Amino acid sequence: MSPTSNRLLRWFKGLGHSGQMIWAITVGAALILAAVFGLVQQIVSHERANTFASIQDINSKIVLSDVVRIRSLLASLDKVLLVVRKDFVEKPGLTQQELLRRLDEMKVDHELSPRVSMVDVSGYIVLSSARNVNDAQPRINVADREFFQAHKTDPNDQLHVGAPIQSRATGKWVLPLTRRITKQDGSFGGVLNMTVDPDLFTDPFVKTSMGPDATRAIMGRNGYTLLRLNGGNLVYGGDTRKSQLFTELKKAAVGCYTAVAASDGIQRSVCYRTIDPYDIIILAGSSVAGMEGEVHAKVRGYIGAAALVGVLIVVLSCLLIFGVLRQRKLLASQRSFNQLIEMVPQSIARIDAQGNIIWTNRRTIEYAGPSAVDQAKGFDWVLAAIHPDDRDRVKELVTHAIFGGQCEDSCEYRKRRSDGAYLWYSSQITRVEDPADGGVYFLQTGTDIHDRKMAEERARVAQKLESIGQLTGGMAHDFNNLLAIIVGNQELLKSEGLSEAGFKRLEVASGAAQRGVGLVTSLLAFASKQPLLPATIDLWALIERISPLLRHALGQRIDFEMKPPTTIVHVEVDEAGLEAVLLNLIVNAKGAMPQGGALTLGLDIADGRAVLAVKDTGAGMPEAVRKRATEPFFTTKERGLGTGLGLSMVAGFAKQSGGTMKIESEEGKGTTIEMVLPLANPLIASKVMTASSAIPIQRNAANGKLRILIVDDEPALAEIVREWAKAEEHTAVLANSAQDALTLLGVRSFDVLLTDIIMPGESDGLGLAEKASVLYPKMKILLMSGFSRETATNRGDVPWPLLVKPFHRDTLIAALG
Amino acid sequence: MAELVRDMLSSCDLGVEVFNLGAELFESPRLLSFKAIVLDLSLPDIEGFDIMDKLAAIGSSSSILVTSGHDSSIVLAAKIYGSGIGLNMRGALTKPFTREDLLSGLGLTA
Repeated sequence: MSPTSNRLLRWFKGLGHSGQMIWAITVGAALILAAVFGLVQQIVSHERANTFASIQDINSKIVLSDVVRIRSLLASLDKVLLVVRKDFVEKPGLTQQELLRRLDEMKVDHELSPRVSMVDVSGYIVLSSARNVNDAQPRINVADREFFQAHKTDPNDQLHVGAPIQSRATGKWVLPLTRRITKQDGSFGGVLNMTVDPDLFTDPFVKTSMGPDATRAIMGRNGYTLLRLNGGNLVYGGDTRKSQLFTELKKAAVGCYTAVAASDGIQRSVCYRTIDPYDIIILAGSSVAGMEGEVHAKVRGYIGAAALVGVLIVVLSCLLIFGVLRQRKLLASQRSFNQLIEMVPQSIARIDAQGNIIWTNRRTIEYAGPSAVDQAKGFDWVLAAIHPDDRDRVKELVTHAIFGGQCEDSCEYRKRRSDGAYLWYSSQITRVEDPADGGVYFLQTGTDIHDRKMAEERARVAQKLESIGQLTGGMAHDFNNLLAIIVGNQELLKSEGLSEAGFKRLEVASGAAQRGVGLVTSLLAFASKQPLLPATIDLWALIERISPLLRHALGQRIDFEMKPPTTIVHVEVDEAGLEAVLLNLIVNAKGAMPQGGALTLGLDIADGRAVLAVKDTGAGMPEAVRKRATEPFFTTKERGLGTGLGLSMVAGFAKQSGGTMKIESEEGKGTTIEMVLPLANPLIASKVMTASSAIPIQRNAANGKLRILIVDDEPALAEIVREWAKAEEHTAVLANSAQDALTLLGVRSFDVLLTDIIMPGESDGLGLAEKASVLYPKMKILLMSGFSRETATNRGDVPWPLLVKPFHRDTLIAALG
Repeated sequence: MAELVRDMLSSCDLGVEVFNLGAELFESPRLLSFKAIVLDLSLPDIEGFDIMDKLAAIGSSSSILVTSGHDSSIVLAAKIYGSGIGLNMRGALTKPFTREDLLSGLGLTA
């Protein structure tokens, strides 16, 4: 197969359904074309058969009439011949006068003007009606004539119509009619010959000619043409023994055939009839070409009409195929458009002027539910799905849109989802006029902005909480100052010799003031919990630490049981966040057990993760509530009693900490909330060890003077270093241990950390440097040690410069840069 | 507050001077002769740490007792810091404190 046809085939296969349609159209058109041409063919052949038959019919009728006429002519002439022959036989010495008289007696029509002559056995004319035969004149011999030979060999007594002869005397063509003269012993006795003018036979030929190529002829059975009229010219004689006629004659004495004439090469349809008993045949023929011409003239109209129909069909099918291809293109573009519509994360709907949904994408159905979309009838229905608080606003927007306005950025509202929840939506609605019918409809797109709205809300709440925390911290500080004055003055009062009653009152006041001190302490503890970064903590230790608070939060009607883990569980979490999470879970559990119950707080390790479980024996949650429990602002509490942020915060916290939260609940049996957190390796230094204090950090490097933190457990050396630094007008601070150093780093900013490597305590200089480099990446870190670098670092290369003790002042200054 | 400390110490027969601002302290001609300084870390004008820096810079040898309404980690850090820059740190007190706390912090007895 050639590449072109291959490509064409591939293209065709690619058309799919359209290809089948094109195929069907092509086949259909071809079938109709074939049918039309078949019909025309049939009409043409029918017409031809009709025309041929009618021409044949005419020809055979002509032949028949010729036969009748010629037979009667021959019969009357034969009668004359027979009388003359009888005379001659009775009286062999008949004279010219006697012959002429006899002919007169028989009243032979003068027009026939027959010439009768007698030929003896040798072929000499012995008597003639036309001339006196005597010895003075030369004798005429006709022994070479066809009729003489015919009669000599054929003993039958029968009129013989001989081949035309050109008169040797006049040069004129005559037709010899002859009879044999038979002697009494039966031998050949001569021929009685009557010559007639051939015009006697051919006169009507000319009058009834069938056109230029028509032919009419009289032929002898012996194969000689007597007379033939061809295209208006009379031809005499001629050998016709090879003619188709003689094949046909063997089949029937009367008939028609079609053959090419040997004489002029023209194909003709010929009809013939034999005239018995004279052995001559009459023919009439018409040229086939002429007949075809007649047929063509008749069917020209049909062929024209059929050609027109054919062209129409071809044009129509081309149009159809183009239509199919265009339709396919249209469908393909529509399909990709639809795919696009279904792909976008927005809901899209087309609404008519009455507010009925005409069409939506799948996302709309997923949101509103299929039944809701089906039921969608009118703007009232649309508005019914809007949160009551937003409804008036949306109504205004819809009205605005109906009158041609466009809803741009202000269309944010809450819309009911299929499960009844109201989610935030941002919507655009555009009025579109259909140019086809002038109708009006609306295109509406909606974007789910719920998460964004919720995030904004959460951020707002968090901001509020943070500001409350800051406020609390500040207030606690002031309160501490006030309490200090109160407590101090109370103490001073005690030593001033009060009365016993007065002293008692003072004691009461002191007690109250002390309680106030405790309260402020815990307030401050809460306030100082700024948002922390995750740190590695012993989780159970944390739980134990805040357990009194949890127990207190639960109240007295609920039994509180704690199930400690079998091993220490380290997790890397935001400590304050975890405390808030636990408090949240406890408060939720308490809410679920208004009549009291039991709460179990357990910690364990499962599948390499920490599992913290809070189990209550409360009311439990229905499935629908359980599913939505972690949704922000979803609450089953009365308005004002809960924010609906509790469990959502817990779930968010678990996710942020790389873990998960799972709720198991059975109505009437209680709820278990499990928080699964990844385990942390306590040996790996966590990113943040402590919270930086509220005291602001001020860098002091602007004037080139450095603030240096020197860490060494050998104060003597540290003191020297500090003196050097001081001489350079740097500020140097000493810390005796890594722990102290970290504390100082938490409250004060330093430009340089110069630390000894080997120090007693939990953390050595390298550990300190590592933590410090993470916590205070801008700070320059220098190590110092009495050992060589290799020995001191022991774990290969460290990224900080090392000063080997004892080092010179200049070495330090150079290291400080 | 400062008045209260003065009252608390008055019974010990000590000379007590009160400065409400950090700047006042450094203007005092007796700056280097104070035996002890009770330093509140949250003064209106200068931060406690900066005061300690300045005291260290002028070579103060006074015993210093830091105090604050903030939580104990800060006064502790302040104490370590003070020692670190060579000040004679006596101790750290978290407000509110009793007279006994104050006196023992200064190494005195009632």
